[in-house]
Amino acid sequence: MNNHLTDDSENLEAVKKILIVDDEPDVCEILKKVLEKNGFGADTFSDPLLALENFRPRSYDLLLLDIKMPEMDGFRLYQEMKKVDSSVKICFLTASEMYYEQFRKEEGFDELNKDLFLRKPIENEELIKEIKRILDSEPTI
Amino acid sequence: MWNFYADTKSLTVPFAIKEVSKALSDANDRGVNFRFITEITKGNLTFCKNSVMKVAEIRHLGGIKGNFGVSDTEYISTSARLSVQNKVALDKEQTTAKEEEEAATTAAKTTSSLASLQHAVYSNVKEDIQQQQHIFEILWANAIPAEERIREIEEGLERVETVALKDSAEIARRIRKNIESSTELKVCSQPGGLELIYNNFFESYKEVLDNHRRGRNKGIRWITTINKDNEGVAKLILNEGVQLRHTKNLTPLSFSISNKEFQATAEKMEAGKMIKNLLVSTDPIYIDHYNSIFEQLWENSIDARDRIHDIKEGVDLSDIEVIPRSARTRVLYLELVKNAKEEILFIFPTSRAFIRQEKMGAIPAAIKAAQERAVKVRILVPYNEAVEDRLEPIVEEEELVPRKKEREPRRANYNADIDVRYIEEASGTLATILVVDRKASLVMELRDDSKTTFDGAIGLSTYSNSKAGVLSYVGIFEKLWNQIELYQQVSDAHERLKLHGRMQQEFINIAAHELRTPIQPIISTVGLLSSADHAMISRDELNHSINMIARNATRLKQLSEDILDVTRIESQTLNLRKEVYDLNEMVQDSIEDYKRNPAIRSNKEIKIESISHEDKIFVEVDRARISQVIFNLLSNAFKFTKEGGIVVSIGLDEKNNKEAVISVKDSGKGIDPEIFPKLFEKFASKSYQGTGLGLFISRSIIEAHGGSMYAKNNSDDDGRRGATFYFSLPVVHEREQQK
Repeated sequence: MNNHLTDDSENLEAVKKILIVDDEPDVCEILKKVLEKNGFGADTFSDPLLALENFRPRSYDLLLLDIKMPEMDGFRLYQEMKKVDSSVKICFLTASEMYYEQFRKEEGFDELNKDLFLRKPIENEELIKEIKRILDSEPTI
Repeated sequence: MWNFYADTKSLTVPFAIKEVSKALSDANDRGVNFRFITEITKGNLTFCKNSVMKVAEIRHLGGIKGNFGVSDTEYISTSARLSVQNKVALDKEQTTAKEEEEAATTAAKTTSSLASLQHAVYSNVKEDIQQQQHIFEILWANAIPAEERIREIEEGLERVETVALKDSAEIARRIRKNIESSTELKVCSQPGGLELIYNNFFESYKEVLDNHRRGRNKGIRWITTINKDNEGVAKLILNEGVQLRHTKNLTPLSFSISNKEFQATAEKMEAGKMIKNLLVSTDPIYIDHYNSIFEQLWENSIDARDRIHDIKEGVDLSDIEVIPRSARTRVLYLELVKNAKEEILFIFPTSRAFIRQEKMGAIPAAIKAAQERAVKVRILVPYNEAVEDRLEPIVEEEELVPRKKEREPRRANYNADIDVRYIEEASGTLATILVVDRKASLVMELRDDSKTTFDGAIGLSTYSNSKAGVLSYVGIFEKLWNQIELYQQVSDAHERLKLHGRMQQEFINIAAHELRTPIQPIISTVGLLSSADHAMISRDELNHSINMIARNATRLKQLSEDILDVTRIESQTLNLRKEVYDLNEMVQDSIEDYKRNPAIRSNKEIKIESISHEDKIFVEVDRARISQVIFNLLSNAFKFTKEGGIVVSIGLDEKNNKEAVISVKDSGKGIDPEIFPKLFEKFASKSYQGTGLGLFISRSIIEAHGGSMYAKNNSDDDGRRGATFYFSLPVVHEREQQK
């Protein structure tokens, strides 16, 4: 890392921070590891309510959210977090086509770009590539 | 000129008295003209021709009484008293033609000694004469020339006349005369006519029938409606030799036709009451017309013997009636429903028809029949909400999918046998069909479905109690009825399949999600390990990674096994290898196995307490399967218990020691009330940990052993909430296990 070449503020600019919310602790743990290995900063929550409670504006560049979770599903969590930070980027990671389709169509999230949905299980390289693509893209929503 | 007016009795008198006869003849010779008005009959025909017409011009007038003569200067009226012998013959009311003729001839031949004039009125007063001349001229003008009358009689023609009789004696005389003088008699009468004739005129009938047997006439044919009331008389009349037929469709007019006369009355003749009006006509137009009506009726009537047989057999009416008036249909409709003894079948063409007839009272009457007389009522009606609303209080709601018993019929919610099935409203069906007791049908054609009243909507109706007709409608009803049942079954099965399909699809979706999720940690860990510099990986890090992979791999293994188990359970191929075990021992071993299992990340703070039963309890089970159940319950208990402990205890049911009950009690957050109703369903769990199949499989295993599984939340009394899961197993007693 280039910590010695940059000051703290620049460092904050350079290191993209990602918030992972997934009810599976193992998934949280391993994704955090993968992201950190690839130069991202990552925090994790396996309880969506706790994640929302601790969410502050401008603290993350990207939210990586599971969809099917107890207490609050990924879409609702996204809606709530958008209220806190309207500029944050979003990416869903789900293991099920059913939830993906159901939420997109029935729950009124069909305005969400299909590119924002990633499917579990995903290879590390693929995940990093997609995250970079989303971070580089203009906000679509 | 002499003018004479004379009845049949007086006519012969002047010719019988020699002096008068001679005077007439002489006067005629002198050029004096004579005019006679008399009643020319068969009896005096020859006399008129031979004697009167020689000296006089003669005209015929019916119904002449008395006599008088008037000339230009004189008027005379005489009353004749003839000989005793001739008087008897001529006075007789019913003088036959022959007797009359004989009397006249005798009178003409006999001399004045046999007759004498006893009384006379004479006048030569001018006014009297003018008056009588005037009267005579009027009568003359109305009389018909003798030649015409004689031709009629000689050609056998009766004078054509049509009269309405109002006098009972006259009516009776005329009827009797007609019967006796006929060579063929046809009668079409109201039912009461049988009794009327039998009581008053049957002696005359007997003569005709007697002559008929001797081949002298064509006999008597009779059409009427035979019912229970006149059945007895009908039999008597039949036995006397009258050809009797029955029809329901009588003309409103009762009539009889002989070869020369037509008689008719519009009276009902109820109970053989004598009629007060009789139309009599000798007009051939009437006779011909009613002859053809009679023959048509005769063709369409049935033999009275068959009819009497039907009545005896209790077949009340065997006919078909076309009813053009809906008001009459309504009365008959209600009558039929109210008198039903066993069964009422309805087919309604439209839902509106049902509502109209419900309002009109037919449905309430049927319900009453079902409630009070145990009449079985079945209704086929097109569905709509209004119909359902009206039927709801009558018929119990049918449970759609799934019905517990396949063929469980819909029963009325009180003790009445009323079944309803809904049919499609077919555009072609435009009649209400009612069948009562499989004996009578009423088909009511729908004329205008937009009308709100029965009378307004119904057009033509057909009543029938002909067996073939009625049973055809029963057949149509049964076919429709069964068709709906079949359709219902197919549609139920289809619904179940669809539901099953949806559940299968959902199972697959959830299973896919559950199978993919543990792959993510494995695939990512392996990815990290393979891309890292192996020398840089610490021992701890490696162990951590291996645990991560092992844990998720185990989870995958568990899930794949669970899915296989579910498949076995649902396809009913779960095989148990049962042996007898000591339950205390087996539960203890399972708990130990659970504790030792490396794949389970259990909170070490939470302790398991095990309370065995004091006695040995033997059960015959598949040990691996029961361990699987205990594993499941323990892992659930651990998953939700953050503090406190878990208690596993074994007991016997207090009643008869036939069941052992194993309970697993935790001190976690208890069962979410939302989850509770579907706790044992597949993927019911809200925890998203574990497969969500454990409880479903566990309960299925226990049930396959003949036991049961249930759960409840603990009461708050003991400080901690938590839940307890119970399962029972049948106990094997010592003797049984010996064998």
